[in-house]
Amino acid sequence: MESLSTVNTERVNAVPVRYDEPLVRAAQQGDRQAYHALYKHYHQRVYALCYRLTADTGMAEDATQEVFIQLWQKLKNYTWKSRFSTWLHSVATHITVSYMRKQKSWVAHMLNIETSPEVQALDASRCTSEVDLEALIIRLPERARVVFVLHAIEGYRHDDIAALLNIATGTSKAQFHRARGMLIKWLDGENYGQ
Amino acid sequence: MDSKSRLSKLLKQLPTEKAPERDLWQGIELGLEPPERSVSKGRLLWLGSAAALILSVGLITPPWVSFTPESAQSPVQSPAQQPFEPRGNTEPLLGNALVSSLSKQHTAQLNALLTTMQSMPALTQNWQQQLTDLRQAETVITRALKQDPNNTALLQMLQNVHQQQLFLVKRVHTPQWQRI
Repeated sequence: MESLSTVNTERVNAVPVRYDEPLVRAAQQGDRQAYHALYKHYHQRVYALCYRLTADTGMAEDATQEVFIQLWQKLKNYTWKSRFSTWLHSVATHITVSYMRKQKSWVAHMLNIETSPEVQALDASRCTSEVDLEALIIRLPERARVVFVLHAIEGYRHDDIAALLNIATGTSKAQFHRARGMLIKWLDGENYGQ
Repeated sequence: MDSKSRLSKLLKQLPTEKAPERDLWQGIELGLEPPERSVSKGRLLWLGSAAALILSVGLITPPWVSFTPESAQSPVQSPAQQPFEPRGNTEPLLGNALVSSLSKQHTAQLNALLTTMQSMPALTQNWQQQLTDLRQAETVITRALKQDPNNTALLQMLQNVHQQQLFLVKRVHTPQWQRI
């Protein structure tokens, strides 16, 4: 898990205060109250990641729960070689991708089917002068979106993404450029819904 | 601004957090099982972790002299500097009395600091949440101390979390140019 440590730590750790150490250490010893405090601090970051990867509120909620249930057991593996938030992000990414793999529809999408037209179609009325980039990302085709989120937002290298998604590095790069191209087109106000 | 630059700018502005629409904790709590660790082993690991924390905190502890508010009567000191006894009392405190004294002293310092800083803008939006988390960590440690009031590792951990609270409040209210 920790080999995939290229996540954008600056985004994750705006204030580098070691506030979570006592909580992590207590949670590692089975203190549920401490773990709940950790959950309250980090769950919105994890949920944001899950939502961007799954593009679905319900799946993101389920994936977030899955992350924190599995994390409880994985806490003993955390060895303080990296920041807890960095490690958590890496674990959350792996668990979410695994969760998505378990969903039959996701496997189908990843193998050969792009996102359905109704999902891909962009509601131009939402694109006011204040562009909602999140909404645009969510409307990207699934393969392109997952790669884009991992590379452009989470800071993973294409090699790591390829290993995580079991695809070729070149495929990861191609999907990233595809996603980026679509977003730029949409920002130009052209070709909505294509 | 062209679309490529705009996309880069929007990416940097993308929020790192998003709130789920429902409470997820209840479902998570139901799924939690006891960690795979025996009690005795856990006890040893706890003490080892506490020692590691103290060592690491001792290595990174910055000088605390400069950020004590004028309204606070006693300066904030590092764990190594701070004695386990209240000012003006020649008899060192022990056990629960010491924990109580440390907590009261810290609460007074924190309140004084918050009063001093309340008119200054904060550099981050979620510092109060972080402070709440630190207070919860303090609660966890205090609870552990009730079971083992003379555990020096826990006492130093309590002092550490106290100092992190003060450091957080000071840091988020300090203008960037003063931090250079």
